[in-house]
Amino acid sequence: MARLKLRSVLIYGAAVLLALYTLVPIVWVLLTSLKTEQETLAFPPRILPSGLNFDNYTKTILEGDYRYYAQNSLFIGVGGTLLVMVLAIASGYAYSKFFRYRAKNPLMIFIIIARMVPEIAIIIPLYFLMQSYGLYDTRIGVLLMMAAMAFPLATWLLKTFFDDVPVSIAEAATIDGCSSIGVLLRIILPISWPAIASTITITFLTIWNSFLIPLVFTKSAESKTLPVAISEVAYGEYGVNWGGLSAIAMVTIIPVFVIGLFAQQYLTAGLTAGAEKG
Amino acid sequence: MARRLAPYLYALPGLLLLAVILAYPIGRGFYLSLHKYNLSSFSPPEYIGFENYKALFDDPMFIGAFQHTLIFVIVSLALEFVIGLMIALLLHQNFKGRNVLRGIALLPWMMPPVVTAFVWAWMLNGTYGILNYGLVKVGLISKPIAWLSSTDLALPVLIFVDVWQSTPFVMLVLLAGLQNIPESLYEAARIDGADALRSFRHITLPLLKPSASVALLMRTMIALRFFDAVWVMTRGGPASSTEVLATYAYKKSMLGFRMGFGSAATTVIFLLSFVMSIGYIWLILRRED
Repeated sequence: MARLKLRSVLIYGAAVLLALYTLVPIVWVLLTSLKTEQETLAFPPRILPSGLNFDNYTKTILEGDYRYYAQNSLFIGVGGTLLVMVLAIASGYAYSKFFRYRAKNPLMIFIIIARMVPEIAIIIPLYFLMQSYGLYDTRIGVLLMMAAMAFPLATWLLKTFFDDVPVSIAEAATIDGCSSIGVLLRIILPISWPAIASTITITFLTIWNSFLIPLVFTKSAESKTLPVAISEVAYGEYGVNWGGLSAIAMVTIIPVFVIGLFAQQYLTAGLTAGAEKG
Repeated sequence: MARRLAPYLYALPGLLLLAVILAYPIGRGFYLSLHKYNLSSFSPPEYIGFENYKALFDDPMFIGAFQHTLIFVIVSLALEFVIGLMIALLLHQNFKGRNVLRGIALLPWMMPPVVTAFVWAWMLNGTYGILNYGLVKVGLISKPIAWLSSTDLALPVLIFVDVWQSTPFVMLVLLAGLQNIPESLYEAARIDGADALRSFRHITLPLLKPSASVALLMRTMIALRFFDAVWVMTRGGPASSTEVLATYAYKKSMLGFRMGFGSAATTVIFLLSFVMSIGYIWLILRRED
């Protein structure tokens, strides 16, 4: 009995520590976003704001360029995810067990290597390429580049999930006169929707959170994303508008936390599949 | 015939995207790295062989960036695996509120690294930061510490920020590994008289190795290109004490316009990742056998 008690004290103690370690910084920024500038810079620091003061949100988002940055982030995140999903569903199918062909293994190795390419390794040639095709400082340019970065992992995840679909179902459909695209659309996709949800979640997060490529390829409100905008004004000890930036930071993580709330199981499934099955 | 062509047709659009946006730039980057190509001088690329690489390895700042990257990779991965395993073991227990806690524990991993860096830059701010205030109040330090403007502390702080952000990934992979270990193994060990510590050493750790090794490779590859938090928090400073490979290459090319020299630096980073991906392919192939 005493042992059982000790065990639960230890477990709950560790659980509280873990929750504090994770939540304190995030909550602190949330509180900062609701304070006036005076309260933010007060000494000794005030823990709670005097009231719910949304000035930081209204000022930065309604008056500044931040609403354009938010639109750009959303456009690139949603559009990039759509493009990746269309391409990756087709590719994942091509690399799954439903097809056997000579080039399959070399192509799969190419996809794995592509997944490892660091952004920094390609920005210089892409800088010239985007300039010459008029895609520099455009949302479409960033969308295409981020889609290429997120595509290999999405393909690999879908391939491993499609591999779990029983062959017998697909064979039965083929005998019934279903073409290969019919098998994909009518048999495989409907039963793989948890896999699709996982892949969408991971792809959207990858693109939404991305930084180096938007940093290099966006200059104006035409295409600049939220992380780039934050990085431009967050650097330095003094003169930073901590309250305003906290509001932008909260806006930037809202979609992420919404996904965390509603799609956590898919995220977890996709993440562990990506790590376990390769 | 159509049936034989089908997989190629499905794979083609994706391959085209990768060819244009990944493969071509890698090749082009290597080509540029063999040239002197300075955008600020308006002269066309001039072939100079491997001179850029020689200059790169003669540059003490590059060597410094290399060393900082190595320290960063080794220390942060070691911490992430130790802390990640501890959290995974905790979340593997049965207790009320476990699922909620798991959701909370994942949050840092989902946040944009730029936001994470901002959050900690604010927490650690020398003048207004809540952490300094708390530490002084408790009596652990006598006066506020300038965390990010100290050449001794800036790199450890960046390591800490990455550990805060990336441990959930490692934890999740290890947790999935733990859940795959059959309970019967532990029961058999108990019958044989093994205590908890022994079964942890002889059952848990060895059986976690496959998932841990994949996670280790993936984390290494991502840590090698560490950029976002450095750029937001220190820009490589103070006095280059947090310069890493990616910030070095970014500064030389995008800010210094030395496209040939910068390409040599990015080619080195690519080769490091490439070696990692060979190891990764080897791991996967070995498992499929």
